[in-house]
Amino acid sequence: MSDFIQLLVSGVALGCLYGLVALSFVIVLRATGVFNILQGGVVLFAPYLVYAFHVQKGLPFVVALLIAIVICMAAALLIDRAVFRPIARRAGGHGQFFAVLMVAMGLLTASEAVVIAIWGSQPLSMDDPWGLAKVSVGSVSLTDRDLSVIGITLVLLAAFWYLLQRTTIGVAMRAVASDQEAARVQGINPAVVSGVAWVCATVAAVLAGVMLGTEVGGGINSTIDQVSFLALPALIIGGGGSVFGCVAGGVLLGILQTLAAGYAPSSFGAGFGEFVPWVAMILLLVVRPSGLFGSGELRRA
Amino acid sequence: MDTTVAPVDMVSNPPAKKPDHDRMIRQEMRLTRSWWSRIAILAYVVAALVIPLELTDSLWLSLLTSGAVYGMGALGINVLNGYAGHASLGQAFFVSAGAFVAVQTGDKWGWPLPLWLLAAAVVGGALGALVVPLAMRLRGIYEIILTLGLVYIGTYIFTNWTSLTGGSTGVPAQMKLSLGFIDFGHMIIGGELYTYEQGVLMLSMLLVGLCVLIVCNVMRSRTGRAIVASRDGALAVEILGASPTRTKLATYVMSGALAGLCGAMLAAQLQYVNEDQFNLQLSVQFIVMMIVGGAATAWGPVIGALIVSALPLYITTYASDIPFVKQPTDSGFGIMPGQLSLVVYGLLLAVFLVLQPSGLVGLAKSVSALVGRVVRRSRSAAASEG
Repeated sequence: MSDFIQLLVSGVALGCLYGLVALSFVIVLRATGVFNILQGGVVLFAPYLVYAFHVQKGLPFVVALLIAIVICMAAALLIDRAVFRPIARRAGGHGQFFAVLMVAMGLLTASEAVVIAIWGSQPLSMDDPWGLAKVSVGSVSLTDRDLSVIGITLVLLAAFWYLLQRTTIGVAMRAVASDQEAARVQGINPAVVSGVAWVCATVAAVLAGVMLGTEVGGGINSTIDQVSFLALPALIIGGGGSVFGCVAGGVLLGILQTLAAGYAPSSFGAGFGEFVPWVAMILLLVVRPSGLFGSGELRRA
Repeated sequence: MDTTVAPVDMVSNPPAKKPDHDRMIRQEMRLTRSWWSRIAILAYVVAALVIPLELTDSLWLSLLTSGAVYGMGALGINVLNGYAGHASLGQAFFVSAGAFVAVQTGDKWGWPLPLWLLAAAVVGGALGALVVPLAMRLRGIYEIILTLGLVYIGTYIFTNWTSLTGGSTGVPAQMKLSLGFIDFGHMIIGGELYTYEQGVLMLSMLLVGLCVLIVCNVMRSRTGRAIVASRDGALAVEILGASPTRTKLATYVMSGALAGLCGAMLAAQLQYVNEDQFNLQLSVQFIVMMIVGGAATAWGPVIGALIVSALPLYITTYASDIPFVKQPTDSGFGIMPGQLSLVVYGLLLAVFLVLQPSGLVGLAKSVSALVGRVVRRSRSAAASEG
């Protein structure tokens, strides 16, 4: 039983990371109408930047984290304005989202190469910012890292919830998401909304990347951005539409993956954990095509 | 009351002459539409027979063969994306299925050439058909996520199905390339023996030509026109009576079958198949090929495949002359040759999608149109002067 609880908690922690990455996709998708996987590049660069400022330059961890957030934000906004806006404008119609996605994937693969060129291909270790000490509750021992991942995700979600539900810009973001033209008629500036969305998305992606970089045994390596693909089923499981649906989808993914990896007999072979979420996604599509929390959004985008 | 209608006198009062639509449709649907296309087909077949026999340089042989083999897969993604407007990252999955089916049937069971090629295409097409019910429920980015899932699912299945795939060590692929009167693996023509590589090149050039012809003609058929039209206006096509399920089914089956063929010929070319060749990177490569060559054009994907599949080879050959490229042993800042091709794929995608979305074929078309205009203008200028 205590095994189960341990697996469950680390599953929820992994799921929180998936959820954060999926969240950063959905926020941009809702605000701009265009899906952009280059957030995976932020997930990749963030831990390396924190490593550069925290370990190499010796700045405090929080300062390094803030610097990483600012740099990633500036880069994301710059790339969005310089590359993706022109593409979206030129391509138009059915080709638009595909063109943006393909260019983003191209830049994502290129950024893996850039990271290796700068920091080398060996995994790096960040000094353990969250602590790896174990917390024991009865017979269950949990790592501090898992608990801090869950905690940070909850805090971030609460902040996003407040932003979206209680502030003017949040209302504007929701208005743009539900009907861009009507929002424009009401005097909402889509450029401001998409800028705020990029900022939120970048914060989520940076935190997800840094927390992934501290994973036990994994360390910072050039394949961290693969999580941006593994997190994608969360969009379908969560129903695609809602911000909180996709976090819930992500948590579900994490739990499924961890439990599957933990309980599968060795005869199931390697990679069973990563395989299960995709199968779950397909089964869900058969049973409930609109996702767990969805409302037909999947067919629209 | 007299309600009978007088019969129309058809002889002295014929109905107005309408254009003969049936004849026009038959004309449009013919396998070859003009003498030019027949001559071009003939010329291609001659080239496919002669070039492999004349070429002995192994580098060029492998370049052309890769172009032709990957071209089939790129044609598949072109049907799915270029013509039908569906986005897919799953091409690598269908290619791997084709490769392993070819190994199983052609090598282990010893089936003859036409049968294992057919088996690979049929299995690829059947897997494509399996995806349709799921793909019908998703659009846009969500359809991409689904097809991306295929790659991950395929990786798990093929890594662990060791009796079929050899797991992480891979499996040798020694298929029979004999067609009865000619053995592509051991060609003897006019008393002269040609190498395996030359035979595979001839076979893959003939196959990719056939694929281009088939795709072109299917796209001119009723189903093909429905496929293209539903890309541009799905609702309108549905109203006109074309079933969206059926057009999507045709698209996925064709794309999967082409990918299966590509996988089978890839196995024949390399004589070895390993699961880790078929990753997301390969799927993206097919898309790069299609975009660089020209989406929704007949030859574009094959031309793109020729260029893109040659890239890694050129980069490793000329690595020392390219700035910022370092050897794996060097230290300091620099990109490894193996990584550079990834960067170049990314840049090619970005540059073509932004500056030349219609690809090289589109570029060639607009250049020839420009040349034509200049020639006409100078002619008319000369005429007005004279």
